[in-house]
Amino acid sequence: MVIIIITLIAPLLTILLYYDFNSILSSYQPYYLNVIKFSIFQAIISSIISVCMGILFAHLLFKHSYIHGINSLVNFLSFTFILPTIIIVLGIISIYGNSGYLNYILEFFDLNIYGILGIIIAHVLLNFPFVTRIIFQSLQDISHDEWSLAKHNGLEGFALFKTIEWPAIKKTLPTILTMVFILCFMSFAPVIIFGGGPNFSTLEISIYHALLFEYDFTKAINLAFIQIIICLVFLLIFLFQNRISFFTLSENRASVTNTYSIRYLPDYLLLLLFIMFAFSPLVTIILDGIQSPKLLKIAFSKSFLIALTYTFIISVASGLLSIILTLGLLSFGKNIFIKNSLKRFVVFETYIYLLLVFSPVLISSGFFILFRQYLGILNPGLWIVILINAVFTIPLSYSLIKSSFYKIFFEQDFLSQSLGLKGLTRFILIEWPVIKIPVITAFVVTSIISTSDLVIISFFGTNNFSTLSLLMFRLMGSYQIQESQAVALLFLIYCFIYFVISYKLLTKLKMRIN
Amino acid sequence: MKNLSNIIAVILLLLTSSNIFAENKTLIIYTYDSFAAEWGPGPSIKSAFEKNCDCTIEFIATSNAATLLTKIQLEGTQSNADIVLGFDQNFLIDAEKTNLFIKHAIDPELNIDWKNDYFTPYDYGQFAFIYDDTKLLNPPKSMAELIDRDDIKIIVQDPRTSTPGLGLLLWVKSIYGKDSPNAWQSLNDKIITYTPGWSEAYGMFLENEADMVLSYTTSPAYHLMYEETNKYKAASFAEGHYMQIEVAGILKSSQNFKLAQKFMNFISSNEFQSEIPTKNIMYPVTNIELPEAYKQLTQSNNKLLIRPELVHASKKNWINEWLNSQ
Repeated sequence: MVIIIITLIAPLLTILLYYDFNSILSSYQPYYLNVIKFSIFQAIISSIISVCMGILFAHLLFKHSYIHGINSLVNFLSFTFILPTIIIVLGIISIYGNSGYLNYILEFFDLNIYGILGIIIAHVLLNFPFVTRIIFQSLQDISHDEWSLAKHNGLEGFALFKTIEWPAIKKTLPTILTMVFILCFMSFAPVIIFGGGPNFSTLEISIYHALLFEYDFTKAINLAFIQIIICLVFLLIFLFQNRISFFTLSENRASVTNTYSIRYLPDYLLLLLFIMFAFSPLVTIILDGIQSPKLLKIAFSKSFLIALTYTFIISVASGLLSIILTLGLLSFGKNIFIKNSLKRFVVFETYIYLLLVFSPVLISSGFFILFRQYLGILNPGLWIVILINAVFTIPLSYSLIKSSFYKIFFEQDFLSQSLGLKGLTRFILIEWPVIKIPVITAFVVTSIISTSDLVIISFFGTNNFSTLSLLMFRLMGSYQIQESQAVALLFLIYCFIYFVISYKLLTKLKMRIN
Repeated sequence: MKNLSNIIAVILLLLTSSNIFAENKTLIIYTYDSFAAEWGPGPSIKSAFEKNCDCTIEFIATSNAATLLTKIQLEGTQSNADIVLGFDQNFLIDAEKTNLFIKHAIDPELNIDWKNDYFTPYDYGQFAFIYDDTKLLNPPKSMAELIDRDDIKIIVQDPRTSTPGLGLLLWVKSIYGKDSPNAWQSLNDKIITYTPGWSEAYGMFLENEADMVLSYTTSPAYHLMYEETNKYKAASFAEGHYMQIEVAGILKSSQNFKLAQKFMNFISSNEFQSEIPTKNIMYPVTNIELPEAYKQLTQSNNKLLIRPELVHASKKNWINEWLNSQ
């Protein structure tokens, strides 16, 4: 807990030292009202579309879960959520961009990917598979009895959806909407690639501009303050509902009694359309990457190897650090729970989720100023990138591990105490075997999410210090599309290998006490 | 073989990134990507300079010239850099005010009017709108005409993130003065998009996304030299063209002042300057022989330039003015 507070407060205070109270008013410009409006507007539209599509997709998937492979498909959906954003963005450009495969559709309507349309398509593609995953899970949580009762009463079609599925979905909606809203509101890569200009700018981009290009801390803090307030309002709704539990598995699963039938043909077509839409960026990246004549040249180029090495260092280190911090927080939370009331515990969890509302750009620049004296010789950027990625992925690892952690604690507490097990011994004997899988999942997920970062790395990156995301961003910026497609494919392969290998290796890992 | 040597080079680079193993002196130069890139002037300038000194030049490149100064400000006195090469005259006073630079104490002979104790220019150019004369048959002959026309689509850069973008802002300002917001409002109808940097804009233009793009009067020379086509032209504007002078300066925190000073003198040498027109596609600051392609270009005699002091004092307001006229 202390570490988190220091990681947040120290850089904020540092930046506040640069705050010029005399120029508070001068940094207010009517233009920023447009930025605020646009930030909220695009986030609301993106989250509503993502959620609506997610509901429909999840409903169809669940209804037809007798189809072979549906469950693995659903699991794979969360993979697109953790993939580096820039890969998805490049995929979208290859499909809908000016020389993309489906550009004629946009051209027909005289639309352009660069602007709000691109931003929304990207946000929907990044979020709706994940939304689908969560809603699918909540549909699975509907008890068997409810389904039988509904069937018994002859409920079908929309009536069935309304009485049985909708109440289950409705429970998760506020959480999902808030989460997707905040993700879109704070999003960086899609906005800076598809928008970024004065007309399609968000608060996060404006903070980035103020710091990186104008060196104007006062403006950056003012904008960040507005951003935090807006996020807090939405987050309060989320905490009010505090029901979030991704990736948890329910034991009492309902199974679907439907079977293949010709009357489901429209459903099948719709499903196919959704699947094609969800995976289109990935498929495009793979196809374009294989065809890219630059593939081999890039794979052995110095810039790629540098980026690959740093990406690997950052993923491992951020993942590890994030897990260590999260485990620390969990045992801290456990103590609060034992000693104090539930109310305090809720407050404690609130703080963790509050991390989501801080602008990474602001915090990382604060860090840089704070530590530049001490980190002069080493590569200060690297440490900051690792630290900030680790801290900002805490809410995710926390929610991934917490249910099994608290569950095992309360179930086994009496047993451990009667056996006199304490500290590390108890952790290794009792808790570790149970939380092992969620911890590994959290490690892999946060590792890969850390490679997605473009905000912090674009702050510190140079030609000798870059990541695969930054390399792709730079290649796209200098219009080397074939090169960036090659990097995208290699990056995708990297994520996949990292995912599979670390999962396999770590699950085999055994801890022993001698 | 080359692949293997690249792998080894990266491993060595990672091991020695702090340069503690380097025997000879290393001169660290912060610059922007396109200067340090393989196809930029960086590599040949590096080898030319290294021939005459027992030293190594290391270029550390940021993706954008406009962020160079921020990088220096963030690093403060702890910076590893000896020289910063790449921002233009519009950042001159900002850079001086950081108090992070030291007087260079050199006095090169230049072909442009220049007097500054801290910074020395290495090239200059004039902004211009580039068009394809097989597609745009009647290009505008002045900024006023461009603003009045409604059949032209242009791509420009964001003045907050790009030095050409800021150049256009000042170009409009130097022509329209207080009336600039109105000029921008009519100009905005023609602007397809504001890109973050020059390369995005130029790339989109080459993909036929717009009739004209904001670049330099020298850009057609690139197509002449490397693509042997003369279809790209710079539209000559009656009001004149805005200047960009790119400069380099030595950091106060540099441990290698003598070597850095040697490099600053090297900037105005023929070896350095002869790389500028062919690799950075800008005009040299000394009177060297220009490549054949440059003889086909027209330089505007009316060179517009707002004093760096005035730019420094008003940049923020002018950018806000532009933002609010969106």
